[in-house]
Amino acid sequence: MKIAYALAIAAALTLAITLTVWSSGGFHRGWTQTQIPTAQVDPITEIEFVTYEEGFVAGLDFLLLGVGIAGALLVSSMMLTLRSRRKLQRTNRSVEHSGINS
Amino acid sequence: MMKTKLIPTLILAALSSSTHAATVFDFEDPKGVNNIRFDLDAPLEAISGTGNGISGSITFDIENPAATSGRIVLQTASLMVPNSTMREHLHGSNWLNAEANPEIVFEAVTVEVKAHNDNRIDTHVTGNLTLNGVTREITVPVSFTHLPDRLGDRTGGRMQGDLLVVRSQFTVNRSDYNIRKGQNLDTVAETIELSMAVAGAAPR
Repeated sequence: MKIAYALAIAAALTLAITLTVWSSGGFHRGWTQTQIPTAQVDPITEIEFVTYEEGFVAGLDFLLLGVGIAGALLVSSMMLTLRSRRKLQRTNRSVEHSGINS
Repeated sequence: MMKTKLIPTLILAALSSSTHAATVFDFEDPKGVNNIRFDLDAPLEAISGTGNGISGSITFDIENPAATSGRIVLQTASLMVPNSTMREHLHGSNWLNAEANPEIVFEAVTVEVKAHNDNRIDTHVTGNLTLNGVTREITVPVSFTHLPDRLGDRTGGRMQGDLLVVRSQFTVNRSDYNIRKGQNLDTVAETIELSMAVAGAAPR
C-alpha cells in the first residue's frame, strides 16, 4: 500500500510539474523549443531574419509526455491498490473459512 | 591632332564603361541577416526553420537584368529549427545528411524579365538547384531590388557601394531531392516551402 501511495503522489507531482512548466511557457501549442526564435528586420534592406537564443518553452509534446507519465504512474498505483485489496479480501475469506472450520 | 587622339579615347572609355556596367555582388554576410526560410506542414505545428550560412555572388546589371548570372550557396549545417532533437534529425543521414552534402546551391542559368519598376525587377530565373546531393533544373520567381549607394548605411560608413536585395519564394517536393522519399508522409509534408531573402554588396 505504501508503494501505491507513493506512486499516486508521484503521479500528482508529475502532472503538477508538467502543467506548471507548460503554463510558464505561455501554453505553447506547438513543438517544444530549446532555442527561442526572435524575428527581426534589417532596417536597410528590410530583410526579415530570425535569431535564436538558448531557452526552453514546453510544447504540446512535452505536455503529452508529462500527462502520459503521470497517467502511467496513476494506473500503476491503482493496480497495486486493487491487488492489495484483493489479497486482503482473500486473506479475510481464508481467515473466515478457517474460523468456520475450526 | 589633339582632337583626333581625344575622340578614340572617349569612344574607348564609353565602350569600357558599357562593358563594365554589370556589377558583381558578394552575398557573404557576417551579420547573419541573409537567410533562407523553410516550412513543412506537420500535424502538431508546421516545421519552420532558417539557414543563414549564405555565400555566393551574382553579376547584375540594372540596365540589362536578363544577363544576370551567379549562384547562391547555403551551408546545410547552418539550417536551424527551434528544437534541438529535430535539428539533429534534419542534419542527420536520414534527412539532409549535412556531412555528406554540406552545401545547398542554386545556380542561375537564364533570367526572364517579367516587370521592371525603377530599382525593382521581377523575373523568372531558371537554374539548377542542388539539394541533398541531387541537382534538378527549376524555374522560380525572383525579384531583384537595386539599392545604389546604400552599402555605406549598412556598414556604418566603413565601405561605400551598392546593395542588391534578392527575394524568392517557391516550393520543392522532397521526393524530387530524395529526402525521405515516400516516407514519413503522415508526419511531415511532401512539399517544402522555401523563402529566400538575401542582400549582396558591391563595394567601390
